[in-house]
Amino acid sequence: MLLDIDNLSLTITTNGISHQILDKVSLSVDAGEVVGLVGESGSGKSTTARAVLKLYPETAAVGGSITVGGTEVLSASKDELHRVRSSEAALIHQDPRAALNPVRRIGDSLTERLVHVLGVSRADAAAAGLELLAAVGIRQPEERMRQYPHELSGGMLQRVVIAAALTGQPKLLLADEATSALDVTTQAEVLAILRDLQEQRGLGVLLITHDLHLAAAYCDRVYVMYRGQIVEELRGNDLFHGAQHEYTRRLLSAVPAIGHLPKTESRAS
Amino acid sequence: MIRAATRIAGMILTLVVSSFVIFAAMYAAPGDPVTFLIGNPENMTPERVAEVKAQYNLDQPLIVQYGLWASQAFMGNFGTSFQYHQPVAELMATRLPATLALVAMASVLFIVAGVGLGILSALRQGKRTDSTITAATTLAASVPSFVIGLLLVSIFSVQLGWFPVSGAGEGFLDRLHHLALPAVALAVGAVAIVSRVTRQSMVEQLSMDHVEAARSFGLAPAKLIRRHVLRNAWGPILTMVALVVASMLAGTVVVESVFGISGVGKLLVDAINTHDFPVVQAVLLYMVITYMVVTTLVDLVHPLLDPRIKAKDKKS
Repeated sequence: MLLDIDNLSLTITTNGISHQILDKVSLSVDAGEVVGLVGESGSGKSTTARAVLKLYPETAAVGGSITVGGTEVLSASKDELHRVRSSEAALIHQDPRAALNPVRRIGDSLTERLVHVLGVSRADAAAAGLELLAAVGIRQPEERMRQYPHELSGGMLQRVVIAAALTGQPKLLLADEATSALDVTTQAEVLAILRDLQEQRGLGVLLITHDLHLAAAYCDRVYVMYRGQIVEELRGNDLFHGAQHEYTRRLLSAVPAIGHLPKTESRAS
Repeated sequence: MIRAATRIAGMILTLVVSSFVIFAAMYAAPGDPVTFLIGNPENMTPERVAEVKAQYNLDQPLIVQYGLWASQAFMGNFGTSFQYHQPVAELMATRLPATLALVAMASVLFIVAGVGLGILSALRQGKRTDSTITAATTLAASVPSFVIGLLLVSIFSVQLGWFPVSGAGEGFLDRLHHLALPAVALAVGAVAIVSRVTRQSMVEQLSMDHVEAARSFGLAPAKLIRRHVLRNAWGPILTMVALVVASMLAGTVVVESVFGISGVGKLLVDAINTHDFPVVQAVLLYMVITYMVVTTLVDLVHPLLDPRIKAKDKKS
């Protein structure tokens, strides 16, 4: 297994009140597999993905285990954690405009991991960056490298973010609503690019989304999350028809389809 | 180009308006310059009064007087001091170096201390170090600078004898030695402001996605702070530093008096006390101009710190 999360629990205490964010979450992603994680806002999807890179507040109480490529993350030494973060797994944020430093050039953000974390020379990093920009379908990459984030469109920026995530040649991508901030056409393009890269490189992808159609179409397996727990695991194809759990069914019935509105108690029409 | 032109036009308008206000305010102030110019009350004959009035153009309407003064000031001639009977420009030139040196030293001190404490505060956000820094700088800022000045003099000059009690010193090293205590007295209040702004600006940046993104790929904490937090936090810090420096250039009066430094501030106070109008006008005009120069410089530097500002300007 590339990613193995076993009985992960996470509790944050603020002002003396404990909030259990994750409750015995177990999931796994194999190499070359696209795994969906769906659920409503606040269900703990993002927290789960961030925990894989040990990105949670110092005050959080964490139990269970997370292994990435054989390394136990939660008890990892500084060096091990550094290796996992820099070259095993990469996180792709939802909003590319926020994920890139607005005052730095695209080229600088793109090669930051290589130059400042992995110690690659600037020239080599720039060459690798150009290659990756071409791989994510960006034309005139040399010119883009010199531009600032505000000069590029959202779709272009998310491709840059994906390219930047691949600079460390990770085996696992954690895509946290990576296309939710994009319009539908751009979303489809970015997803296609992500799919190509995933297949070429045999990447494992944990795709966090609230778009159930996307999850069903795109993912090999889908985990449904509710209130910090994994309530159901389904094959992508079975998501709309094979759901057993009450919450999954409610979630599915809330998806609007062309021609009719979803049935909700609050809406009389 | 158009931007630069409107900017310069704006500056000229500001100068004209503020210089007129300065000039007119002098004449609205109580006290008659003629009385002062003649000095000895026994000489106050109508002939003498008329003569002095004619000599200093005091018999002309206000607007004409302003025109005469402004056109001369534009050429660098600010008239002759009533008190010293010396050209005002010369007086200013002898007083400026001490004030500029004082402000420069104080600026270095408050920038280093303020930004440094601000960074520390932001990184220890919510912890004891953070609240200690806030409490200490606020306390220091609430003590008037002349009290701090007197305290410094009594401890470091009188008791320990490390620093001279007064004067501005001659030559570079002697000047540093003389101005050390006054610079500290001037800088203390500003440390609180600058450290608060630095802390706030950094805390804001710390919660940004690109900071988490950089952490997620393993960027070392020191680099993370430098490249993603501090680098992005400079905007508000620079603005605040510039405003404080500008107000210091115009606000050295108290500290100069306490430490007996003959700078521009002291010149202004003396001139006001003696109704030396040409000097007062020149000093006030100098303050307006320094403020304008400093704020313009800041506006020019901002786009270098944040490329988005340049883009906004292009669009508008």
